Amino acid sequence: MAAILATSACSDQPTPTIQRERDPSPASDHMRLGALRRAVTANGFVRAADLAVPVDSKQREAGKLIFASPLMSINGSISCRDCHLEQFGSADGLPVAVGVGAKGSGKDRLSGGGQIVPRNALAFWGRGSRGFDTFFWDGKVSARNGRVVSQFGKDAPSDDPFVVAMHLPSVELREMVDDTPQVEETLVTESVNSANRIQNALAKRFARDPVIGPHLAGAFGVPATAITFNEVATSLAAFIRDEFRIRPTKLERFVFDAGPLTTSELNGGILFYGRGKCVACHNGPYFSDMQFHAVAFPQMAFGKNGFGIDYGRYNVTFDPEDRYKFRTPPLFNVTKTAPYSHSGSVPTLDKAIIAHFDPLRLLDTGKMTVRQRADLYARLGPAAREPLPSALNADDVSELVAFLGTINF
Amino acid sequence: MPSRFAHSRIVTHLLALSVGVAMAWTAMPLWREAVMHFNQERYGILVEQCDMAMQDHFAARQEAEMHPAPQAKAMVSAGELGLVTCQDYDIYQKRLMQWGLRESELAQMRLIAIEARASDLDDVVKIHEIQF
Repeated sequence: MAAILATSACSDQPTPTIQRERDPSPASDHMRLGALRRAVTANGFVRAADLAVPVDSKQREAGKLIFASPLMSINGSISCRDCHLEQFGSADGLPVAVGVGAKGSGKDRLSGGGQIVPRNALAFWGRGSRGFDTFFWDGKVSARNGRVVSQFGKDAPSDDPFVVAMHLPSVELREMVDDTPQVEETLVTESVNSANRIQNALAKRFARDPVIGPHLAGAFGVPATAITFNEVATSLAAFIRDEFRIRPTKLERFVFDAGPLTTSELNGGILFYGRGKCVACHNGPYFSDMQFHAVAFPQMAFGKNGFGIDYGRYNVTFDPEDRYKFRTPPLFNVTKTAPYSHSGSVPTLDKAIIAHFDPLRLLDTGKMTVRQRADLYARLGPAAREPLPSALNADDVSELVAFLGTINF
Repeated sequence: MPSRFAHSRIVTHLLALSVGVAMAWTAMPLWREAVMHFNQERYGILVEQCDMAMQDHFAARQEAEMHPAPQAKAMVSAGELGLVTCQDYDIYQKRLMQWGLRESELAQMRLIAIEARASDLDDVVKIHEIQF
């Protein structure tokens, strides 16, 4: 908890590693402006409107109520909204999520005795929109060749991977399920049946709710008694899909409507698509290749695999090649979603960029235990095999941050 | 009838011109040293960035030829865009030439940038350059 507090405190005051003032003057280098436009479109960027998936308005309304409802927690009191807030760019502003048991928002959640979820809460922008079909840090739900791949196997509750993803948080221990001895004894079997038991109970709960029940019944044209958790998840998906859809950005106006960029934003864009090689992984309409890569970010004291270790994608595939790899994070609104990395260990965006090409700069190895250093060596291996950027200086990093600001909305 | 001061005025002007030329001649190396000193850091960064961009581009093309794949092709495009930094290098270098630096001084600055990590070699580099 002390580590979280330390990182949270840091996130309030970006470290002054930036040396040169950003150049706010309008960019006028036509060669570079043209080259950047071509690079952006060649790497899959499209208008926001082309990504939107229409949703049923009644399902959306029911989903909005469910999103804010603590009924989603089987034995606690936590809603989706508690960790996905507007003021934190649809995440929670904390290094790692503090799940069931916590109260309030942001740092307040640290003082309520909530249970630690060992990964950074993800922002929702673009989730479930066109082509966004790989979910969570480790991609435990995805679509491959038109089929949903998830822990449900052949029994996936939907052929829409986003709806399948909506089924998971409600059965995630410490996230929305209070990890009590009774739960450990009766439900922790890692089977679909135990998940079904929880979700059947949740569906009945929502159906009985005097406000949400009628909304759900009306949205699906069924009596409240026939509502299943799939309807709950489908409604939630409709709300998140629409509420957090991608909106037009400054970059979109620049690329498609000849809008302006500042000199710093232009330079950052040239770096992003050029010498910085960011585009090697941050490509496509969401600035993510939806694949899995390793970056040797500092690891917070918590880890999915215990002792501050998180094997990432390996936890899903059990392929040793996937150890320490995580899905490339999409970048819309990235300047608003600090702290960064799967363990939220990086308080500022400039440091997150530095971690890609100079991870040791962020670490004091002398203060680490032997085991922590051993884990670091193991993470450095796969990270070094990624397409690393050229060594960037402080001005370069500052200009990259300026460019990333153009995909805010 | 020419003024009796005309002769001495010409002499005075010639003398002033000679002194000015002598001072400029003497000051020129000092001026160049000052220009080099104040531009070494920025020029050195651009030398390094352009060098790395060229190496990245070459490596990306080699990779694309040996292992053709969409990812490799994308990296060639990134390498091409990365070469933009070499334009900054060229422009900066021409500006230094406008300020009076010659190729030999620019070469010295490049060598200092390249050998920046071996600061104890700086003197050797300078001596080496003077011999040209």
